[in-house]
Amino acid sequence: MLFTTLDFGLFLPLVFIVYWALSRIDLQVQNVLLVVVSYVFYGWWDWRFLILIFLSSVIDFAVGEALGKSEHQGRRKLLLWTSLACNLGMLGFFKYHNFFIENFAAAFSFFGREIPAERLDLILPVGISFYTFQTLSYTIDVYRRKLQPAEDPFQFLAFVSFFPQLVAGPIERARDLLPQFNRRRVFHYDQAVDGCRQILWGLVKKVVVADNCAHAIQYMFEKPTEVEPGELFLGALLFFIQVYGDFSGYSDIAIGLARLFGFQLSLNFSFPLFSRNLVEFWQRWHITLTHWLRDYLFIPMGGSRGSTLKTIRNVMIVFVLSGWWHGPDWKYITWGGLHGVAMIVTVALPFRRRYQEVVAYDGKFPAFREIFGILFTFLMLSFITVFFRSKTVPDALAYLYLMGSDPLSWLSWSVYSKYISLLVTVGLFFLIEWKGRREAYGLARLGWKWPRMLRWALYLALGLVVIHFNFSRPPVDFIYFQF
Amino acid sequence: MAAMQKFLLKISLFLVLLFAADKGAYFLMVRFEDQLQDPRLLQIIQGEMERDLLVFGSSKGAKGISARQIADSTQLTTHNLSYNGGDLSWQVFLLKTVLKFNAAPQTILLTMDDPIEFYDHENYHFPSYNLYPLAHYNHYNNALISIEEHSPISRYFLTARLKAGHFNSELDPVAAIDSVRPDGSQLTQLYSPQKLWYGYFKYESECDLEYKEGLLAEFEQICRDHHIQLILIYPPNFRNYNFAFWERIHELTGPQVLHHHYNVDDPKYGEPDFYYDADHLRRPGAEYFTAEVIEFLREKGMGK
Repeated sequence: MLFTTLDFGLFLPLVFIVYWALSRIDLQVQNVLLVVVSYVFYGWWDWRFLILIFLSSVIDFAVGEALGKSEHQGRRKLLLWTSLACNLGMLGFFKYHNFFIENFAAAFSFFGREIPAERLDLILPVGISFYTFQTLSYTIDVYRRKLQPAEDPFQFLAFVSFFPQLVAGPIERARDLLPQFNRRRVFHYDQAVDGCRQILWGLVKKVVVADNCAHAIQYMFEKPTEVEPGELFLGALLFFIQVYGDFSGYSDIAIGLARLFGFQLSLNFSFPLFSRNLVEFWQRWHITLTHWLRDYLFIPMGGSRGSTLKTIRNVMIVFVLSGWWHGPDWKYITWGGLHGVAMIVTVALPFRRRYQEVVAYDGKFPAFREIFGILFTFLMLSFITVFFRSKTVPDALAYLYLMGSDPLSWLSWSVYSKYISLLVTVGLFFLIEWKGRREAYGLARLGWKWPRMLRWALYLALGLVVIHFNFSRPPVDFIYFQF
Repeated sequence: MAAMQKFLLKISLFLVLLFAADKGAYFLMVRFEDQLQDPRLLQIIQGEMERDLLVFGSSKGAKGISARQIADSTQLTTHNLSYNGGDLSWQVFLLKTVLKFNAAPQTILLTMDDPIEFYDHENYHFPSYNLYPLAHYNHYNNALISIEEHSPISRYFLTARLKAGHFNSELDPVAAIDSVRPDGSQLTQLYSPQKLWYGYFKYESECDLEYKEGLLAEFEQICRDHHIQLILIYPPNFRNYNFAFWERIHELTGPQVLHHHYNVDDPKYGEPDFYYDADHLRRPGAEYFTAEVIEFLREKGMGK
């Protein structure tokens, strides 16, 4: 079920009312309801997906329970490896099977021996990468004794399948989310209203910004040879904005929905487009995945504690795997690899500054150096993200080559005048994001000093714009659903 | 409990206001009606399409038959309701719409596209874009919902029926080649920028889609139910026709349906000057062919 569909528009109020009506009866019943509605939500795509998520949940619950009872280190290790093998096995089979088969066959044909690549006709379960990482964090944390194993199977099932963040994150840590299923949830007016506001802003990001960018750039990426270099340049920028609007929009909706149900999810995006360098960008972009990779991969490998070479190796492994996590394709691996190289170069720069707060946190305007940093980072990331959108690595290279064939045309007004309404929309979006950069999301406090009527008029206008763009044309899937 | 009540009250108020504000879109859409360059769908839904004879078809009917010429010669009030790219699903929808909002005509001429009438063809479909400017009419919006171009939510929210063209004039661009005359015909004096290409397109009945054949039967049945004389018209292609196609249509239709094929022995239809492109007539060709149709109507005792 997509957040932007009519089905979900009917599903949500119904679940909301029943959920809070049950809050007076029993926490357990409320959790059971969450499991049932989450399974309905997920099974709406394909009921067969439910088998996998149920299996994954049952295995990890059992492993967690056994880990809690066992003191024997060898047995604990075996249990952890069982969980890793099962979860990564399912992920590997459904997501990476064809990739391995094709590349295996290609490698042999390179050496002069033809091997038929027999692909399996598999459907990729929506969000499998997200919930696999979430359940893995549970077993690893229980293994490391940082978390007590779950006692209630329904709480655990609800933790794995919690519908707001099930298919595209934020990737929650068990130690943050699981205890929330064990606490009585109390309805807070301010929290619910803020949740609705965040949902509205998420919808604006997705439907108004991302989907309009998606429509504009479709032709550029499909037929780059028929488009002017300046337009290709604009296409690269718009795609980067699309990915941000699409993915962070989903996260905003997820966090807002969770707040409606009395849950607090982790921040996943913190205005990454205003980052002044790549290090800051990765502190602000897909934060929950970055932290997951840091805690469960980078640090266990040694992090940056060893020699420079070892650190470079670790950074490259993390970024290449992060790219591969997105999809079984060389283009994602290339995308990750380029991020890794850019990260190593950025960290090595002697004049790099470390930023904790968002740009111009204490003032209205950034320094000249910061403006330069933001522009440079934005351009560099837009160019790297071309690999994400193109069908193959050679396609991406051809796109970049064509785009770079006439850099002067990047400044041509005729390019931008064709997309003036979209650019005005994107400009307004950036303005709101800039105004709200010190908050959790762009719209959070916009208009708080205005008369109430005016603020409501703003929300109504945004609501109408969302309805217009969402329902007057075929829906565009969330990009990250495919991962 | 009080917090929940307050929240539900506020959210309900917001939704009511949203619903009310949405209705403002109606004024924007109505304003756009005045700028329509092709008023036929508006005339149909406003009950202004009561004629003795209506011409249905795709671009072949639009460019190949002059409604005004038929009206002048036969004294039958006539209008051309042919739309570029419209296949039988479009013709059936259009006929139902005409009959819902207007009195039934006595006669309908339906042009047949030799050989692609029942094919799955990229340029031959339900040209839904014609409905966009008039989506504030529920009948047209429902058609867009049925083909999944609009969401069912557009039944309640008018902003979901808006298109980009409501904010600028991009929606209804009519090229000179496609400008609609007051009688609904789209005769043209122009030549296609491409060279008049002659190629024989063989009709292959195995390419026919069964549901499109069913649509022809449905069209015929509707005419029969409303006592409308249906005449199937086969306009010329440039030096190309398929006898097998004509035969197939005869097989599919009942005895009360009349058929008029252009005169393949007439050397005039071989003149390049008659054609815009290989599939469409220019104005001289259209007037020549319309005269032939008028003669056929007279033979069957229709008009003066």
